[in-house]
Amino acid sequence: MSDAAPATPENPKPGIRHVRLVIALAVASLLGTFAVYTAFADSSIPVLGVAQASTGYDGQKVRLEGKVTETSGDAADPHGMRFILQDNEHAATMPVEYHGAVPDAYRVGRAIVIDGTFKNGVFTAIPDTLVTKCPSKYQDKATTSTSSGSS
Amino acid sequence: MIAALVLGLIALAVVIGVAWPLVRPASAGDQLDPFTEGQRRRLALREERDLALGALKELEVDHATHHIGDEDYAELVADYRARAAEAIRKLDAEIPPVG
Amino acid sequence: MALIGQGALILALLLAIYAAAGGLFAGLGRDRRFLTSARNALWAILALVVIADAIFLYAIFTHDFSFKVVADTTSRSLPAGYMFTAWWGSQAGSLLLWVTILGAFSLLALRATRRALGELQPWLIMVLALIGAFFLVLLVVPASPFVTQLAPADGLGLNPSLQNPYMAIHPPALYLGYVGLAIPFALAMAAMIAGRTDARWLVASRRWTLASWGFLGIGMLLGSHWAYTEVGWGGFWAWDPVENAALMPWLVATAFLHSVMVQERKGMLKVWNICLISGAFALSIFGTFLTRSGILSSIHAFVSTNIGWYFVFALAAVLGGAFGLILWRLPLLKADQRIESLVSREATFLFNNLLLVGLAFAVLWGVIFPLLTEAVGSVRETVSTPFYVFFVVAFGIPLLFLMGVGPLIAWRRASLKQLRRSFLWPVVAGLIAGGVMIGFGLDSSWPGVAAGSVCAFVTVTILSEFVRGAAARRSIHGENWLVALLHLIGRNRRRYGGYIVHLGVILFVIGAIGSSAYETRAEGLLKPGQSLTVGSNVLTFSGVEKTRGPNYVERAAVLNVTSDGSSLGTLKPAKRAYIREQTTSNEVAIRTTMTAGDLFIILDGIRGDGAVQIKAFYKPVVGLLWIAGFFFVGGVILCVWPDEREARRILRRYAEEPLPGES
Repeated sequence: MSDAAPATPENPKPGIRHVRLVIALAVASLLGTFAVYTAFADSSIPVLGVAQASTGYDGQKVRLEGKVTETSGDAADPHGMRFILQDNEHAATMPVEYHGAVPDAYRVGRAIVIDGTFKNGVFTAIPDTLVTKCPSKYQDKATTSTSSGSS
Repeated sequence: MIAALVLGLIALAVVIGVAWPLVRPASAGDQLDPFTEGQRRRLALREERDLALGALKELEVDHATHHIGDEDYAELVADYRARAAEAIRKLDAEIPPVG
Repeated sequence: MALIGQGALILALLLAIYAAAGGLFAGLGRDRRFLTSARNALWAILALVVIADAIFLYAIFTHDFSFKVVADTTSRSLPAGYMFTAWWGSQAGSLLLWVTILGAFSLLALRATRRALGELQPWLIMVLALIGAFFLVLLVVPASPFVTQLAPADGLGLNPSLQNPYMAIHPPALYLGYVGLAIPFALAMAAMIAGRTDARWLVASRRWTLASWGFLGIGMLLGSHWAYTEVGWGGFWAWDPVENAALMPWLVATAFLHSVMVQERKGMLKVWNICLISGAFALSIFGTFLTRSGILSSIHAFVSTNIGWYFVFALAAVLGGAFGLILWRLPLLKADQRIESLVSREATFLFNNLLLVGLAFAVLWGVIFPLLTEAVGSVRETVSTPFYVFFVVAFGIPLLFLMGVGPLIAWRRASLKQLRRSFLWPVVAGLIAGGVMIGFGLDSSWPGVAAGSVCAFVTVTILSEFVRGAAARRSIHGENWLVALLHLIGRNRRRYGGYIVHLGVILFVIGAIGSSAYETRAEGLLKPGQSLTVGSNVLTFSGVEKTRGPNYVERAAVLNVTSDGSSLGTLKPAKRAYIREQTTSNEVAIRTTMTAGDLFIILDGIRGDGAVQIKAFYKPVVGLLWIAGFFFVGGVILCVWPDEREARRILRRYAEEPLPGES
């Protein structure tokens, strides 16, 4: 800085205008990254209840929520595990085919979340996507947590 | 019954503790001093002075560790010396030298 | 007993409201008597909350199942060590812990700032009492720990995933972090109300922020370690809303800790710093709220939850209050100086702030995405790991790069000629690291290679900072290397503590990338005698072993591990069935190698015919994640450690001007 007089906000030096421009560009590029990613990357999947899933989502990857009403087979078995999922609010049910890891808390009556596709009346789950919702015993009754395997 | 009694005693103790400063006889130091405009101004000047002095110290270290070239160092030191001097001068003008 | 507990909480709530009003009177009327009275009220609140704690814990330890919360979260067979864990095993209990910590922190903060920030005291009391009142309302109305019922014979038991040593430390560490952020927020608000917008409040709040940030970081690391070793799905971070809850305030507080340095040196970014600390505190409230309620699962859950609206109100009050005060005090918050050059450390801090806040925003966006989509359309949508990973890579790698650039650039202004000299070796190190990684066939993940070479760049930068600083001391003071290095660190604790934290971040990044981008995995159904190969390890299954624990039955798959023909011993991944709690838990088996890599084995299932489904991973350098934790803690302690020289300097400044307040 050759002159000792400090630049005032009203009369910024050329160098300072330059700084402002670069900062504005940095903010814009962050927002741009964000906007472009959310607009173009197929990053989200619909979360559906059992009743919703059977209408108009054939062949599309969705996340299904519901309560397990009966379960048979073993997910560790080549034939996999089969269970019936019931809508949390309606009576609608859906058969599910699943392979892979079964969370500790899984059992009949438990609310679960699972990813997969619905086709010809059966929901084929993606392996290892079965997640149980927090059991209500250590939660407020009104609040079922979305806690996944990690918490 | 006992619970209500215990609660009542706790509440009584709490109310006494909280109300005591209000009911005790007033004393001279009860009024909190205001923060004046002059104090704000002088504080700002002192801050400005310390900022500049701190900068000078830091520039010295940065120069010793070769983070700053000789030319930049000379310019910046001159700049911050001027700032510190300016702040000190203004401060001296604010407070008439004592005795 | 429950009556006394509930009564104590109600009394505490009334006192909190009184203390807020008392603070207001003391501040407006400049009346010391109200100040003393309001401060006494804060002491009384702490005493009452401690009484409530004692009653609650007594009920837990004596199995008094007439307390609904106690019956819901404990059982007679619960080991005594986990009784404390049950304190934060319920929403009511964890809120009680929140208020207890807040009460203690409030009094500590008041005492610490009594001299230097005397005229902030009334307002500090007011803000802290209002925060306390909010949490006490929650404890009295929707989430009381003292709801009673007809006592059942036994409780439902504690969730097995909480029956773990980590759960005895991880939640309290997070709470200390969440609650601690209330103090800098209160200081900022009080400073604005009192018109004391000089740097004093910032100095006072810095250490609180640093400590809270440290606790949040430790809490998250412990949570990750717990998830890795106990939950056992093979990772350490699942981008679960509960985890993100702690990450968001941590990121914003990280930004604050950096931008504070800019305000201290140049008197700029004043408004920005207040925004950051308010944002961090708002996110900590949001986090508390996320952790204990499943609000985000859907709008329906939100509307039906009793506690949701309280938190929306609190968030609105925090953000609205901060915004209003900033607008009011805008004339006092003008910057003293401006950025002189883009090639300066403050400029790198500015970009670091943008990236950190951007990352926090991306995480927030992901967390509330289900709510947003449901509110806009009819179908709720959710984002998962790829969304977060994208932003961590896109914003994180530049952030990492800045971590290496910052130390090389002087404050205020640097010349390009100087930079060329400083950057030479770090850049060469980065290029060599990238080349070596590609040479070893690690180019399967380009973010991995990019992060790896940036890590090398940053490491060399930081080490050169230590060397240069020590060399300068050596030539100026004629000390030997060791003495010079120790003095260097001792005299500039914040700077070198920060560098040590940065080294921890580097180790963490290497550990995270090594264990996720370069892991190998294998799975299979094994009958006795069959084996599975993962990396260079061969696992041979010999049979299932059954054992009994105090409140569970365990079945383990016995696997003999060999590598290149030599035996590495036996690993026993298992499943535990908790009897009372009627749940099972996975017990993974982990073998750590000399190079900090882990052989990680999960028992997915045991079939009726004795065959087991096994999933095995080899995770290189994952151990660095936990070593990073020690660097983090060490660096934070170094930064937090009081610096007498700085304290003296500041005291001198304020001693020159007899300011109003307490003495």
